[in-house]
Amino acid sequence: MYNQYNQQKLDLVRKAREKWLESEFFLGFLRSEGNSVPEPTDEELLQWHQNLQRQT
Amino acid sequence: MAPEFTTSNLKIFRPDQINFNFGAPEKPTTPNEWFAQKYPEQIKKFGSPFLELSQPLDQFRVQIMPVSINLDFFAGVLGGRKDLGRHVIYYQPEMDWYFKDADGIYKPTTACKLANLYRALLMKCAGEMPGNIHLLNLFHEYRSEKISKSVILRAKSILQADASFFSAESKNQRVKGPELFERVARVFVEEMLSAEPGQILKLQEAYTFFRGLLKQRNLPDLTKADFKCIIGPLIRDQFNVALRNDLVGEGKELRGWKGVKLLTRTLPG
Repeated sequence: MYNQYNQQKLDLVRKAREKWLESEFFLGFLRSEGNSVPEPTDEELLQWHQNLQRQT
Repeated sequence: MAPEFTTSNLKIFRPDQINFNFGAPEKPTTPNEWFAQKYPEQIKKFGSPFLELSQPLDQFRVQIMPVSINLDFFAGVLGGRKDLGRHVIYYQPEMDWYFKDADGIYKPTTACKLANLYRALLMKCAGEMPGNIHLLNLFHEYRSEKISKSVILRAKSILQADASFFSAESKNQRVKGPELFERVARVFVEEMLSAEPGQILKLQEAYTFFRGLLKQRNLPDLTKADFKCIIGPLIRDQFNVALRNDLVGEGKELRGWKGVKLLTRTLPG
């Protein structure tokens, strides 16, 4: 059961990272040079994804 | 040999082709499908990204070539994807571009950066297409300066926001930088002045007009000395002329820029 939970979490992180990369591709071109953001941790990604779903 | 166009082999992407099932989306096989997968809202609003020509290569395969681009669609694409929390506007009171960054704050960007993004999206699409897609227009023609500029120009109206977008009552927050004067000065020089042999742009005339632009945007006034400091380098870069104190016009000595003309004496908007 733990493995199943772990796998679900990994899938969620993977989907969130795909969306984050897509979003950063867009933003990277618009930001001023030197203003890039660091890649988030898995937990930060999940939080970001949750906030996004709440907003949209 | 030039491709033969008939209505049967010219195709557009229709909104009802958008896949609404909740499984993993199929890999796109044409440029239209690629953009439709990423920007379904823009498909619904503006229609197909391209008109695509389909030509048989042999008994089993067809070659697909985008032959006409939908500027409105790509202007809409530059507005960003709501599902990713991205948003770009053309803020009409300042005639400038803003994008919503990851922290939710709107920050300034430029037309050139938007054009870079547009060209990068086309290149990304080209890089993910199968071998039967003719890439010439995606790679070259639609990424030209002329088409890029046309997309940005179209985006100015499609993504236009009025003063209420950043009003005191609005929930939209933006970064307000000290370079606001320079931004207005750039718009003044690039869009309201032109090169005109024999004409003189008088310093006083330019300064008065510029103060009107500032007032229109609820920006603070500035001294003539500060105005000269900001505008001088910009006019030099754009028209290759410096401010002169020895010009003669209307029977008297004038200070101004020779060979430059103010296009209108009426404030825009």
